[in-house]
Amino acid sequence: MESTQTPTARLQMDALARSPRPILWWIGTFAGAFLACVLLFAVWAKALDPSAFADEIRTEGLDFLLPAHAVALLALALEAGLGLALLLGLRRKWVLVPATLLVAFFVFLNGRSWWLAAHGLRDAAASCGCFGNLVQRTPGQAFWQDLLLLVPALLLAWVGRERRAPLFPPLRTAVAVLGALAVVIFAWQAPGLPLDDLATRLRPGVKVGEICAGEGGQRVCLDSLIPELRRGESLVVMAKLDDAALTKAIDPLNAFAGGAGNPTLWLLTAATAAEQRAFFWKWGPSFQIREAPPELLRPLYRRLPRSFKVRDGRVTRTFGGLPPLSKAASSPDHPKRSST
Amino acid sequence: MTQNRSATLAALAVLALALLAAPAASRAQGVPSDSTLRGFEPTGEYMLVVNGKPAPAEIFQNDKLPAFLILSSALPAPVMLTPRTGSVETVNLMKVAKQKDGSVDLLADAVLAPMGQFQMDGENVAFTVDGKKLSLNPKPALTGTRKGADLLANLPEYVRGSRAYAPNAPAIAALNRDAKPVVVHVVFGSWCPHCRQHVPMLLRVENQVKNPKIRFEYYGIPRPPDGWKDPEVKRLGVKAIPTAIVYVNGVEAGRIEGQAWTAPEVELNKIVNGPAAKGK
Repeated sequence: MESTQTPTARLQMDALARSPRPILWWIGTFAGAFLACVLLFAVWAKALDPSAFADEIRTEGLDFLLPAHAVALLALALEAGLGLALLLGLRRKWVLVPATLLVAFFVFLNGRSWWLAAHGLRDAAASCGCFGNLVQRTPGQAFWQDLLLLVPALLLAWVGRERRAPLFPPLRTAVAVLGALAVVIFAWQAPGLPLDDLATRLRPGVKVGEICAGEGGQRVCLDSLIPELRRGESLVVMAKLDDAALTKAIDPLNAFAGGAGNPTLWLLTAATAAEQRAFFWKWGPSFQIREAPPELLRPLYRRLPRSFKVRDGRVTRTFGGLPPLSKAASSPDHPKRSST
Repeated sequence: MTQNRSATLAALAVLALALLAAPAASRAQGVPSDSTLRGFEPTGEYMLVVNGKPAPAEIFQNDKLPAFLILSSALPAPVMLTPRTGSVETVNLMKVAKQKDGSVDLLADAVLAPMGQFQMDGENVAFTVDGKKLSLNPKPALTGTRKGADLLANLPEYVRGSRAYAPNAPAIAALNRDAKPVVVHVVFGSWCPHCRQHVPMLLRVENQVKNPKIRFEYYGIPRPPDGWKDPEVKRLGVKAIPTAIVYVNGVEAGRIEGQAWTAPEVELNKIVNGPAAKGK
């Protein structure tokens, strides 16, 4: 496109390129790059765990036209494309207008959450367990943080634009489009990639006392849910109680739990006491089940079940799915029963 | 009414005698406990219902098997329920040995007689023995304001948890020296597994704090979702249970929440003797 310009226009462009950039151009470019970094960081976090992003989409009720996963992939493509375009200095209207709409939408969602929480429409009453609603940041904090992080950078990105520059510089446009496509493909494949340790807060070396949720006094950490993790060796399985992978493995898990010298086995779940009771009577686990608030559990996995080994309060190994129970002990002796 | 009460008292007396006799019988026979069927611990999670009416019973749970053992004068013999297999079995009362720590073992020569299968009826475990319709139902939540003794009387798991906890001695000593009037108001749920872990620790602290100026009270909330709509929960702004609200001189000085339950006496001492309580 640039090569089709007339010689006069090209000379004017060269002259502009050689002349020092006005201060407003620099301000706008840096603001655009800052906004791009924020967007791309968010894309990275969401693309690693698209299921969690899809859950958020469902919570916000944004899956009314397409399934939540499809909305998630489209949103990631848009956010990544705009982020890359801004990072490459493409401060054109076709980039800034959608970016403005996107930022406005984020701020609207946070504002709506704040309003709903303030009016008691999204609060602890929805909880079914011991933990009402552990918040990492309040809806009000989320609103103001996003507003201050995104809006000033966005407004400044409109400043000092080169109005005579080509609308679609081919190379940069291609990079933004291909980058967005790459993000979609990555997010699509991410659940199958061995990225759990990268994508979650649970990885070898982490102290269980530092895996926490909630703010201030309400802060709950993993080692208060299972104090026994602070000493000795434990194996923790995180699972949904109705997961077929778990129910099929009850026998080997029970055998492992009963085996002498094996690490203590725990099942960590967000299920309520009533659900735990139903599971107990149906499946008869001989290992202990502990309830964890979803706010603490969700950042620890991309897919359930996921397991990890702990020694003296520190995570030593993680496993996608159920742990390998190679050292599982044989079932304990059964009591004598009369034949009648 | 009086007749019913007399009958219940008589049944309880028979049950108590039988339980006292059982360990004696085992010692006399010199029969050891079964290696597998031992260590049934008292549980307060369930109640026995016979033909639609609550019946007095001692219920024990073995986490390792897992299995439940029910001893009741309303039953012809102790009944063992085994989750997953769904089996209902009876065992001779003389083969049940009660241990000093309150747990129960079956003797090695105990023979389990099959009585059929139990069925899940919602959250209730329904079964039949000798034509009687029996059910093990989750106990209703302990609600309203309670004393620590109420909790210990109704929730055997709390007794065990309380016995197992060793509070921080300097914190207890500091609390015993304190002269300010303190009320520790604990919001909890008897149905909440997290409370089962932590409230017994505070009961132990209450047991060790001999300072008459420090008073403990416990407020039980119903099962969710009603629990989170409880007026007391809303009034106090409780977001998770257990939460202990500490009042010094009638004014809230702090709360024991979340991670602070790791050592509640340490947090309580911080609140009572810390800067937040100064001048209160």
